[in-house]
Amino acid sequence: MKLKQKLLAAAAVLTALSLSTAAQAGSAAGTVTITGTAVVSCTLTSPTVDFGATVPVARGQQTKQFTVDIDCPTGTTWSLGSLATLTNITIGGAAGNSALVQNAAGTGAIAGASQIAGTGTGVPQSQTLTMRLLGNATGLVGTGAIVGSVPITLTY
Amino acid sequence: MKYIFTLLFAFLSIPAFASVTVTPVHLNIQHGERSTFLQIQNPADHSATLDLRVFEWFGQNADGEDLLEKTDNVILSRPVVIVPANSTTTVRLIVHKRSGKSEDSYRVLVDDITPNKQGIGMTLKVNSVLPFFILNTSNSSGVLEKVGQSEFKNTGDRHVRITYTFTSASGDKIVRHRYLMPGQSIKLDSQNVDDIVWSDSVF
Repeated sequence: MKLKQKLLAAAAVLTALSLSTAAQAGSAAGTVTITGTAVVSCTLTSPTVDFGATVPVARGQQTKQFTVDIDCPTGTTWSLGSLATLTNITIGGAAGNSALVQNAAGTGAIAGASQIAGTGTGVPQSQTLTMRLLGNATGLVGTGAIVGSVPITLTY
Repeated sequence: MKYIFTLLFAFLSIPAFASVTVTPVHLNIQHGERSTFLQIQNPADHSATLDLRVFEWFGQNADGEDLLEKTDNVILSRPVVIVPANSTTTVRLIVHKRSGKSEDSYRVLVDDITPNKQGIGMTLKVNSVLPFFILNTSNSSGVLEKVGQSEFKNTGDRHVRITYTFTSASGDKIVRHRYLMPGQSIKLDSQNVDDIVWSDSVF
């Protein structure tokens, strides 16, 4: 058997193994026999959220919508969440600012029961989110570029 | 033409970043095996620093939040890894201690702790939470049974993963995933649930 044929045969076996662990529909009792291990990974692609070079004069909270793409193989379950925990954000060299990621409308956290969830389709799935910048009690601190990062969690 | 250049500049000035990828996202160790491994790929043009931790996993609360406890039952070959730009590295997970149960459940947390780069706006740091199951027998299974009008219970000896969808008050289709460990149950608002799919596979 030539190398190409061997590779094709191996690919066919792996495909059969991965397909043999089918999900159960409905609520009836049942079992699934494990006959193989499918190697699965997902990718999350996100943009840099640009709030501009300077803090607006009003210095109130700033929000901006952005979109992330989650690319998972078909059938892979995922949940996207972000804790209410805030991260120090630097504006013009001044710390004391914070940020969080909220739902598309910017009305609430995406934590706990409000996480965003989906099942992979083999093509990127877009999710719109809102990034909110907060400052201390008197508003945003600093006068320069807004730089930082906010953690987000992809749970499987 | 001026507007085309302006639009082009706007797109170029907001680059998209692909997250660090972990493979596989469903970890398991079969009966008779002692270890498995996790591959971490960094597609970025700068190195990534990751903090890995393993917690014993006791299921989820009503909001779907994990119930975790520190453990030393599983050893990570490297709890902190620096992955160079456009590179892949491997971390091994080794079983130190097994329980007497059919299946041991863990969560592996992979946190991106890469220091911030200056001057590039606000970015997301993507952390991953992976299920990790150690099978201590060769013939266990999870079994989801309906035990009440809107209550489902895992009567088997392995975990069950449930995906259900419901329609919100505003008419949106909402998807939720839950894990039920052996003996655990979940109560759903059956009036709103459109569909339930479950599996006990570890992929």
